Amino acid sequence: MKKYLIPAFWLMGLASSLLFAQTTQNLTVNATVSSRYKLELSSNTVTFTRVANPMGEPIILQNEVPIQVTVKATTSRFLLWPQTFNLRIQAVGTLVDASSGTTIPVGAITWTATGSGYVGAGTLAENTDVLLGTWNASGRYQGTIRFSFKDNANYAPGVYRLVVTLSVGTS
Amino acid sequence: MRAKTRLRLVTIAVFLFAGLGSGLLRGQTLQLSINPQTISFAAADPDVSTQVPANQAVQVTIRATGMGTRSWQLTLRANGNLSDFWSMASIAISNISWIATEIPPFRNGTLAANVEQIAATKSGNYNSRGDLNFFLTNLWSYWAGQYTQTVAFTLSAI
Repeated sequence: MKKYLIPAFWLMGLASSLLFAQTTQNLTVNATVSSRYKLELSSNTVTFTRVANPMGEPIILQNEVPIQVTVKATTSRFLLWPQTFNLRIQAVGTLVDASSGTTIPVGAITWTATGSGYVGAGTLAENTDVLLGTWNASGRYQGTIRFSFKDNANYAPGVYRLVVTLSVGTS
Repeated sequence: MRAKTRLRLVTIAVFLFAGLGSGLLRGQTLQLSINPQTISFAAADPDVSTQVPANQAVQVTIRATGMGTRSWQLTLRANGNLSDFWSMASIAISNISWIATEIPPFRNGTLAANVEQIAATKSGNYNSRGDLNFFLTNLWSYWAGQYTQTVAFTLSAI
């Protein structure tokens, strides 16, 4: 028994010397991630064409394919309470025929939307934000919007234009 | 204390210290220094900068002497994921990778939480420096915040 003790201590000492043959340094890594929001649209123009008798107040779909919408967001949270952010749509003024000055209320334009977090349907409002989508986590949110125009016999023939603003943010 | 017991203790001590000192007697030394000891990744638009470089490269100086034919290796071990105190959010540390100069003995790699990743290895002596350029994969899905983590650089004989 005793004759094994000394080699055992030798091995312990040798092993400990191997353990000491290392050195360590620490690197601190910091990363800053800022809140940011971005909105992308596949098209920035839609048009409607009167094709039927307006007496029946037909719903006219936009001539183009639905607009692809992508909301990209890096948002914040405090502990487990996230910061909500929204996509809003606003009609800047009303539909106006520049040549005659005739107008059509923007309430004639509605939309349907698809995609996670998007509000399924809504109606434009003049100079007023309308909610089009809401989320509470960072990520990319894709959807589609298709606009429609509700025609009316009281609308005089003409070429009407309107600017619509979409914005994304925490407001 | 009886003489026989004393002799036995002295013998044990001699062998123990002989073993401890064997590495030193062979003249093996491993020295490691890194500079800087803190790096930062700045906020960036993920569409513009899919890979965010650290503010500076980490200079790694290694001195291995008396190694003979024995090998050594440098490992990087992240002590967890990047974490933000106030949001309690984390970013997987595997989103940080590095590109090395002086290949070999250095090599490129990706950090892993609580797992050592080999950053350099060689047999025999070495006395030189390599730079590790770190990059963070930038994603929209991160929560905003100030993230931090430590990474242990360990140089050891193998």
